[in-house]
Amino acid sequence: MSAGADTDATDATDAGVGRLARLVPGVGLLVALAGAATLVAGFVPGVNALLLGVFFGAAVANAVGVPDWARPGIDTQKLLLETGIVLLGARITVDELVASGPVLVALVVVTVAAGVLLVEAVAGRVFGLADKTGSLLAAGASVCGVSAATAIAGTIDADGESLAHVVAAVLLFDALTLAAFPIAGDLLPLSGRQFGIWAGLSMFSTGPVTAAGFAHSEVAGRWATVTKLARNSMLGFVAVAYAVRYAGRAEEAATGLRAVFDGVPRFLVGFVAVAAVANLGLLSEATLAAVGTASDALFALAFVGLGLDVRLDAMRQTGAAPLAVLGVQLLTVSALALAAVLVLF
Amino acid sequence: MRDALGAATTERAYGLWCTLERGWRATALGLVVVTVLAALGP
Repeated sequence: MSAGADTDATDATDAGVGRLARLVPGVGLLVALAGAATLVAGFVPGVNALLLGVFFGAAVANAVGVPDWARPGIDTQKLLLETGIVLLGARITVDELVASGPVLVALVVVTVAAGVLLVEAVAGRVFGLADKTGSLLAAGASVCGVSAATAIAGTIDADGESLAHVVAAVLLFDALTLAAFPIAGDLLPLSGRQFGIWAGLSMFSTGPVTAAGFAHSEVAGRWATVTKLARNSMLGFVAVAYAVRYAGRAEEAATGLRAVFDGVPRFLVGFVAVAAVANLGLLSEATLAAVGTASDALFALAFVGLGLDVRLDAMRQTGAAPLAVLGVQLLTVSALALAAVLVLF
Repeated sequence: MRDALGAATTERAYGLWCTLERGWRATALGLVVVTVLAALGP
């Protein structure tokens, strides 16, 4: 190996180490708040550590703000959440999933389609919103929250201001549902599986769905995550539908298969791989337990990050119409989903 | 020589990491965690 190549390699390593070092303060803040939430929840009966972590994060973000030095580390929260979901694959029982699979997938397809059509029907005609704003709300509420709204904004060439309003409205509902669903779960006579599927079908974003599920029970957390992943996988189909609707071009339909693949979350590959390895019996009980613990720890950090991203001042600037549209969607879809879950599961 | 090889491997891994989108990074991290825990476990 030449001296020049050695120098390049060292420079790249230094850059990697430097980038990693910038993450440490923010990740440290996540660890500190998650640790505090776990400690407090251990002393106060009935308080859930995961939800308390979200609350601590939101309290810090809105009381004192997030310092710049912590931002790079806090921005890893989605990576932490998705890695936690990949590891959650170790706790999935494939037999159980296959038994419920067809019904669950059918329910997800119907729920997503109904949610999109409902929002499209009421956003313009009832609440006077522009077509593209309605479409962003439809995708955000029906598929996977902010990620879906952002992806569809690119597909239909929506303007940044519309997207910003939709994102703020979705985040507000994420916060509200994260508080409301665990309470509803305690009040309603639902099993862990029923609550998980209901939350996975109704709530908007993956992080809050996972948090609400695990706040109810381990079983609910697993089903909520699986259901939400199935819903997220519909993004490609919804993106193709919107591309055809707005562009009306034949080539959009021709490249549809590629767009459908692009819409599938990549961490789903890891989730399926880990679930396969675990269900083939390749991991010992001790390893499975350790993987489960690692998944829980990553979720705890990610949920604090979720709270740190809550901005009450930004939410206050959201218009009434987008909130009303999302309210109609949430109430209708969650009521229908609850009825379906009670009958089918 | 061994250090140089290690640095080159790290460089390649870092370069690959930089090209990955978040979902693939989560997949890679998850698989590394499972592999390490399986190797360390009883």
